[in-house]
Amino acid sequence: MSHENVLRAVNSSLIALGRRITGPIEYSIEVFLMIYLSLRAAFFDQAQGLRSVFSVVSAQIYFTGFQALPLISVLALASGSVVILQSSTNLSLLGGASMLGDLMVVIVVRELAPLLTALIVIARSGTAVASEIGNMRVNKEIEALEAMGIHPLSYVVFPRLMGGIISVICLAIYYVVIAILGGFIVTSLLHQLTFSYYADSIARAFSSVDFGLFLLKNTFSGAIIFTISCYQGMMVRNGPHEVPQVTTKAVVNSVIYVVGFNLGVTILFYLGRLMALGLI
Amino acid sequence: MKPRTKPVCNLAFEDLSFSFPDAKEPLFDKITFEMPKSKAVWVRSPGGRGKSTLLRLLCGLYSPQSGRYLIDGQNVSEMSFEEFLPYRLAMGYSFDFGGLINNKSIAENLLLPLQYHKLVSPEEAQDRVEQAMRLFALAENRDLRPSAIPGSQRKMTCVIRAFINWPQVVFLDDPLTGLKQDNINDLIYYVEESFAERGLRQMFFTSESPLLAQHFKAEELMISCDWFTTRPAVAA
Repeated sequence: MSHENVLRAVNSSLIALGRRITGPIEYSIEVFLMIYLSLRAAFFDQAQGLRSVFSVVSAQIYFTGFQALPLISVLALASGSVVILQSSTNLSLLGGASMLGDLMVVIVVRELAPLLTALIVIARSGTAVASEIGNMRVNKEIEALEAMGIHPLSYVVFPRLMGGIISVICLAIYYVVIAILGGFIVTSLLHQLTFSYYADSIARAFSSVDFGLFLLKNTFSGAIIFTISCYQGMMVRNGPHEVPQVTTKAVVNSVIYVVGFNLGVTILFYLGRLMALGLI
Repeated sequence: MKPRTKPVCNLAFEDLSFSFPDAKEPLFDKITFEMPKSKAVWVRSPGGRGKSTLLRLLCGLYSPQSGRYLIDGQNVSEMSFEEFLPYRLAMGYSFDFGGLINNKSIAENLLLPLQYHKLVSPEEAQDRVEQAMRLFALAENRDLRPSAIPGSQRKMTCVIRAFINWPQVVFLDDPLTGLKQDNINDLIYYVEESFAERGLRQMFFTSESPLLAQHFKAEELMISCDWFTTRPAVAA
């Protein structure tokens, strides 16, 4: 291999590496830009009445929130029961039975509810939104809206984003309620645990910080899922064969971003705690 | 009700170039041209390329990569969606295929531009839609969604929707394809009425058939990659 060829190979590898690094950054910027543009479009769109937004938001809440309740119930019941059963048994052995509430709040409220709710919403609604918008592009509905003077970001994206965020928050609250109450009911069939003791333990453990973390994680997860799904749907350019491709991308990217965000918030939260305690 | 549309009279390109993202060569290369002012303009191209793109550029659905698109001397190619809206409300556009909102009924599709922009009262909007649906025999399918009606009715609905705002200029991309002869006659009558009573000033259209061109004595606009030219009105 001549000197020139080696240089050319190194150069092209560096370019490929650079693209691998800048690609996700570009993608993230474009996704966040879409949130901004859809909010801006909705704000500046004087024609779009509340009624029009409300009808799409309520439909989104129905499909994303209400129709996901059975699946969320099963998942919340199962995870709540497992966490209570495992922790109450093991904590009793270690002499820390009074920490049951703390453990439930830390595991269910702070971590499981936001993450599992988001994953369910990605699987059910993220895919639906990406393929719906993808098909709208194929069928020239997005262009038709534009031709009628209706901003697609304000008419299509903004209400789905709002409906999605509201749905994710409501589903996560529902998840917590079912996991805590349902989990107790299932556990009480197998294990001796009084409700007053259990409820008191949960109430003592729950703080405003948990509420803040819960709200932060779910709001952003909802925004991430629905922006990425809408963005991927809008990326359809050449025909219906792209719809399944963008739907898969929407799922994969949503999972990566949601998991990354949840992990990031948790790490930052515990780093903050350690710093407050003077340990780092 | 306060009109929010702007007059659309003179359409012109100045050194305008347009190409699709992955294309090797530009579709239009540095075109400087003033669009004909005839009542009806039949857009044609020798290679069969660029007709729909030209209509989309004129309607503001595509933005040129360079050069200027002027409407009455105003460069609209760099305008934001909101800035271009008054011009857009004075235009109507119908697609060669698709373009109807699939989760809305036929009547809702026709009402959408009128209701959304509140250009007329709800009663008048309803009247306009009912009248058009009666003329084109769409009334019995008014509550059905586009996927549940025949293709010719879908096409008809899309073409009528371009006129429902009472625009000054309409851009019709292949409006006759898939229509029955009765529908074509009704459409010609509707367009004539729009010219006579609803403020329509100009119609740009593409079509394989010379029918519309002959009826409206349309001026031919021949387009290519780097030149646009016009021919006199088509003889009836």
